[in-house]
This record gives sequence, structure tokens and C-alpha cells, in this order.
Amino acid sequence: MAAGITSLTLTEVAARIRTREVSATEVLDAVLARAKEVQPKLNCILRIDEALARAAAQLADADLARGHLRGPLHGVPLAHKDMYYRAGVPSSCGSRVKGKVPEKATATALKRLDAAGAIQFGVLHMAEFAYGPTGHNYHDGHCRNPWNTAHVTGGSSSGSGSSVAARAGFAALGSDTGGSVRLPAAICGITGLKVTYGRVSRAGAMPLSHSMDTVGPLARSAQDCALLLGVLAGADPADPTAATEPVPDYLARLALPAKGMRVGIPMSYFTDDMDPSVGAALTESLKALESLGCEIVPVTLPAEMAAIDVAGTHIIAAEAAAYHGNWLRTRPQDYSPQVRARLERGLALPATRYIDALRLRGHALAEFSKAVFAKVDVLHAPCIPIPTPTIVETDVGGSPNMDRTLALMTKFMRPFNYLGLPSLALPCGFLASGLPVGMQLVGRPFDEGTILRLGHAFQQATDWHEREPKV
Amino acid sequence: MTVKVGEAYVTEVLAIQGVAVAPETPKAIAAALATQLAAVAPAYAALPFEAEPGTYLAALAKEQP
Repeated sequence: MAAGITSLTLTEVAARIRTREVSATEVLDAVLARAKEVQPKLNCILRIDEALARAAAQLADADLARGHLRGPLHGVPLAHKDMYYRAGVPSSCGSRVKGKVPEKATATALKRLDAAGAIQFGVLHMAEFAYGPTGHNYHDGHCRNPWNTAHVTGGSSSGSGSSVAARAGFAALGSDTGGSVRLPAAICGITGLKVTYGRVSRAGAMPLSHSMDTVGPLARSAQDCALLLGVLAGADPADPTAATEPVPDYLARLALPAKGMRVGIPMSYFTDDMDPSVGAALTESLKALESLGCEIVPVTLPAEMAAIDVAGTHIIAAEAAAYHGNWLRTRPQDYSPQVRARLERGLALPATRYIDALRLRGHALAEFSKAVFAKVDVLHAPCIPIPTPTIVETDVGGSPNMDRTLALMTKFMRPFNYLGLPSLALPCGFLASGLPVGMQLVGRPFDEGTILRLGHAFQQATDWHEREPKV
Repeated sequence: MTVKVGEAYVTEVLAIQGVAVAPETPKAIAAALATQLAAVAPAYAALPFEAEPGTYLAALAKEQP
């Protein structure tokens, strides 16, 4: 049993702990062993809190023996991107700036996972201050893709993507401001959910751009993401931007059929720069959706898509520069040159252009919804249009095309942060190189239930999400 | 209207904010911003006078299923 534990999904392992088929301590032993095995190759973990986790697992087992089930994640060990604060513990945020000052309060997302019975066993690698799309980190070393360690993991939730794909964790929190959940999910061959803006509280999570930041899970399946979202979502007095919309039963909605759903395919923007091998995998995914009874509907997107991407870039740049302004003045040497350069750009953006980027947002969402969601239930889109680049290709001086490659990695991501829409990234094929290809299913605001339902149906009909990298 | 952001402006605005940068940085920032601001100028110009940032949250709520 122990050898197979780490291959279980979150849903499966939670059920087996609950029924006492396996103990929380046995599960933790298996996860820690796997984490220690892959860490030298992947550099996906920043810290393991073994003693604390062991004590918590023993307590969870004792509780269960007395008949006390804390919640749907009782005894499940998880580690998260190192930007979710826990009172009394420092969070590096992938930086040298944050130092070793203990945080004052625990993030609401962690509190909700704790209340559901989860056990945190460590913190995961991330791009410095979550401001990078590849998984490079010049302070902690670069995170490695478990499918091929020469390639990037995607970022900024690099450790979340790499560790969950490598079976060194069942799921992990990431954050998505411009693709940081979806990129590592797609590139590492797992499933990641970027939620509607405001769906999950951001209290106690490191801010990058308060108008764009979202908290979301990376896991092995849409079902696992549904389980986690049910725990995480909902209003929070500690975060006034956390929406008060009701939280539906996401797991119950998975049982609804996909038959009859209208799935849109974009006729522009998301077709740009498409590599044929990536395009072929996406085409196959549409055939699978058709076989489930979905109707595939071409949709014409608003002409403003390129402007939407730039406006999103400017909001992130201006807000991130504001957060970091004091440190940029007093401790510039503590940033990597790459992240410092990104932050400095935001300092030069005229205030009127930042306000215009915010003013365009409501109009752009209305236009996008009219063009897309008046016709379809879900939009199908690529994650990145090119095969996953290598770490060297996306490093400074590594390639004359570096800037263009980085732009292509985020081009299909950021528009949905700007629009605030939920998007599920999931694997839909593999290239001849053995690297995964991901697709996005994008839904209406607060309609995570529909994209999770369609993603789950797709994963019931395909096995891309079950493939394990050999690390 | 496209807002023109040149090297001199970037140099000055970074200095005003007390951030010391490498000598080549203002030129690179100005070039990137010039391209980006030109790309968004038509969309911003088409916005109605009354559009303000708060309309986004209203749109988000309105577009729910």
C-alpha cells in the first residue's frame, strides 16, 4: 500500500484516511519519503516541517480513532507556495527581502485548509515575489520540470506544479495574477484552477497586484480542484474583496453530464503563434469534448484582446511597483536583477494610464461576455502556444528570443486575470518530446462549477491527467 | 491620444521616486512603454467619459450565470 499512496489523488487519499484504510501517519511517511527522493532533482520544496507534521498526523489519527472527523481533508498532508502566511513562521515569498521575520497572522486559505483537517508539511518553491512565469529563482535555485529537468516548470507557482506532478504532494495552493496557477499546471501536466476574482479570500497571502491576484489550487484532477474550492471559497471579514456570492456544492455538480454543453473555440487571438504540435493536441481535445456530447461553437472575440493583455500588464506593473517601492529604494541589491527590472517598469507608468487600464476593465468584461458567453457555456483555449521552453532558453542571455518566448508564455493567461474570469488548466496531450500540453476551460464569473464539471467529464474520458513523470 | 513616455521622462520619474537604476534602464523602460501605450491608446480613447474603475465589479456581478 505504502508504495502506491503517493499516486492516489487527493480525493482518493482523503477517502482512504477517512475509512481508516490507511493512517494519516502512513500517508505522511509516504509523502515525505517521496519529497526527499525528488527534491535533489527538482528543487521544488523550500522547507519541510517534519516534526510538526508528524505530531499533527498522530493527532489526526487519534482523533479519527475516537470518531472525530475534522473535515473533508482529515489527515491529508499538503505543502503550499511559500507566500501563504502562518502566524509565527517566516514566509520567504521566494525572496531575500522578506527575511526571517515571523508573520503576524495566518492566511485565511490556510485556516480553511486547517479546519478541513489538512496537515501542512512544508512550503514550496516559487518565483521571487511571484513575479515571473518560468520557475526561475536566482536566490533559491531554479525549480525543475519533472517531465524533463532541462525545461521550465512554469511559474510563479513552480514548486506547486513540480511537486504535485512528481507525486510529492496531492495538491498545493498557488496564486494566479497573470497565469501563475495555470502555467505550472499546464507545463507540469496537472490540473490548476484560477478562480473568479474575489472567489477565494486573499487575506494573509502575499500581494503582487491587488486588482488581479487570485488564490487557487493545483492538483491532479478537476475533481480534486472541486474538493479544494469547496473548502477555500467564500466571504471573509478579513478580506473585503472576497465575494459574498453563495458557494455551491462543486463536487455534486461534477455528477451532471457534459452532454449538451456549448463549448466555444476562439477564431482569433488564441490562434496566434500556434505551434502545430501544440495545436494538434488541442484539436484532439475538442474531439474528446464532442464525443461527450458537447457542441463546439466558433466564437469571434472582441477586437480589444491585445489591448486587454497590455492593460493587464500595466495594472500588475503599477500595483507591484507600489508595493515594492520602499524596498526598491532601500534594498535594491536584495532583488534579483530580473525581478527588479520588472518592478522598475511599473514606477514609470503614468497614473492616468493605470487608471485607464482599470476603467477599461468593466467595459472589456461586458464586451467579452457578450461575444462569448451569450453563445457558449465555456470557452476552450490553449495555455501556451509553444512547446515548453528550456530553463536556458528563458534565462537572461540564454537566447535572443527570450523576451518573445516569455511574452508567448503569458499571452493567453493574463487576459483572464484582467477580465476576472475563472479558468481551469488541465492536460490534453503530450508532445513527442514527452512534455505535456495544457488547455484552458474558461467560464462565466463565479461559474467555477461549470468548468470543473466539463474538466471532470473530459478527465473521465481521457487519461492524460493520470500519467506520472519518471523522476 | 498616445501618451509619449521618453527616456528623459523615465529617468526623471525614477529619480523623483528615489530609485537608483542602471544607466541603460530608462531607455529600455521607455522603449517598452512606448510600444505598449501605443497599443492600448485606441481602446482607452473609445471609453465613454463616465467609465470609471468601479464599473468592473458591477460588471463582474452582472455577468454571473
